[in-house]
Amino acid sequence: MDFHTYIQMGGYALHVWGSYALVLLVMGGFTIHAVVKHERLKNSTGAKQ
Amino acid sequence: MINLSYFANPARFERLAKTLMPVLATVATILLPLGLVDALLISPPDYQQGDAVRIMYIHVPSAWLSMATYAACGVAAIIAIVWKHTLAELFLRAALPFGAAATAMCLVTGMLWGKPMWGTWWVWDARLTSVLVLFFIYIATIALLDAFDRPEQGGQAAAWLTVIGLVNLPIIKYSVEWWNTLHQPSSLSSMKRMLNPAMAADMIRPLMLMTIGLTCLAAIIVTLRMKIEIMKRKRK
Amino acid sequence: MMPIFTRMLARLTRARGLHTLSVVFFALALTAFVFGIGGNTSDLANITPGLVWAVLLLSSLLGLPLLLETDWADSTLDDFILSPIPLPALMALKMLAHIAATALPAAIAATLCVFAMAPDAFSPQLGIGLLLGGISFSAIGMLGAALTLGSSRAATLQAVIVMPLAVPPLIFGAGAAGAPLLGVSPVMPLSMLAAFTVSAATLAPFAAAAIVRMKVTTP
Repeated sequence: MDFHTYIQMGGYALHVWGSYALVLLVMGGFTIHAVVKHERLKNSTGAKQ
Repeated sequence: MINLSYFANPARFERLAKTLMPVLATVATILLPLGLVDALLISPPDYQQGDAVRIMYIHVPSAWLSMATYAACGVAAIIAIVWKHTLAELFLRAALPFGAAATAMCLVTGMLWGKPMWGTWWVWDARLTSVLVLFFIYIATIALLDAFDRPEQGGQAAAWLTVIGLVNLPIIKYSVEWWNTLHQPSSLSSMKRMLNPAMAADMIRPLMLMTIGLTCLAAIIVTLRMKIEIMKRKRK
Repeated sequence: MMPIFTRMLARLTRARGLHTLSVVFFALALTAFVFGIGGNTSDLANITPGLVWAVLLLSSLLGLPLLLETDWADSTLDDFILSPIPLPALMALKMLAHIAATALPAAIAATLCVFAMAPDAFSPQLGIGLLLGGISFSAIGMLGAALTLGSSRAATLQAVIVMPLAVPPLIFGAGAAGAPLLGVSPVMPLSMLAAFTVSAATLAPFAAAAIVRMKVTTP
């Protein structure tokens, strides 16, 4: 199976890739937001003390 | 006095988080790439649904996360009400928005799956409707968190609504199930067939990998969000 | 107890005309739906039972901002907590006053509307169902009003809180109301609605009392 056929997902490309992209966006977004904010707050409270 | 008991518990939580976080992070970084490769490449397309079945490997974990988060919030809410435990309120602040996001994820992936399978984005069927109501309850509870001048008031109000929602959830499920049999029993049976097939091992495997991996990632997210809430509270 | 109830009721009706307002609101909202759908009588007759139920839910939201907020503002709620009468009993009276001021007139208006717009769906059970629904919505509304006490966005939040919780009585009630049109017996949905209403109306005063106490005592 070549790359092009694979991407098409048997005609369901939009649905399959769309839902994986959505989950990636939501879970990734939450993770990055939490990590970044956590680091920032940790550093600023560390500097304050 | 109040301060002493308050800071004692977050300290215990921080210790727990310190030991748990590396474990969760390791499991998630191993399982999620494996699960993704398995779900998108290795596992075979379904003989009926074709490649659209791959949506299941993220749709089912989303549904699980949505309900598990609400159950955890329910426990935390009871603790927040009975013992006025600040940490439990902070858990609600950390977990409720994530739970709402997981519910939205479950709904949208379900719609993306439903369109090619049923020919429609949405059916007013028992499962879909009760998840939609769960989403609305999540939104209402989150809205309560920051609706007051004092955050403690918001935390307590949100805890109460979480418990009320907990009571309401089975009722919603059964009321819509009954409602459904009056109007369109066909979609329920097709839904049941779809969700409870005699699943092959090479479909269960990616499903398990994704579910455990995403659950670990969810636990990391909620723990970090809780640590953020604790730091914000300490500053005040 | 009776004088307290009369005073509570007077606070909602005589001072604010809530009973008239809820009937007027019910009629206006229903008319808005009819204009939105178009005046085709046969189409309307089929959806009238469900429509009336949805509008009943909407009109139950109308009085919620007045339910506890004034008592909170003039510290009547503090007196309630200190009063020898148990707080849940006072909350139950409050709920009954709200039912008498809003749910009862709206349920009567709703029954009359079904009688006029969809005579086939009209039956004595319909009126009973609508009244039970009004009581359910008031009980849930009581919780919404208690939860949002002291918030500057109380009215908006009440709608967001009450509507998802009101889904079960709405489904059972609309199912019972539409049953005659489908030729089905309304007994099953009606008894489910009655069961929900009894539990909601029994539990809501206790929950509302606990929430109000929390609101007044939380620093």
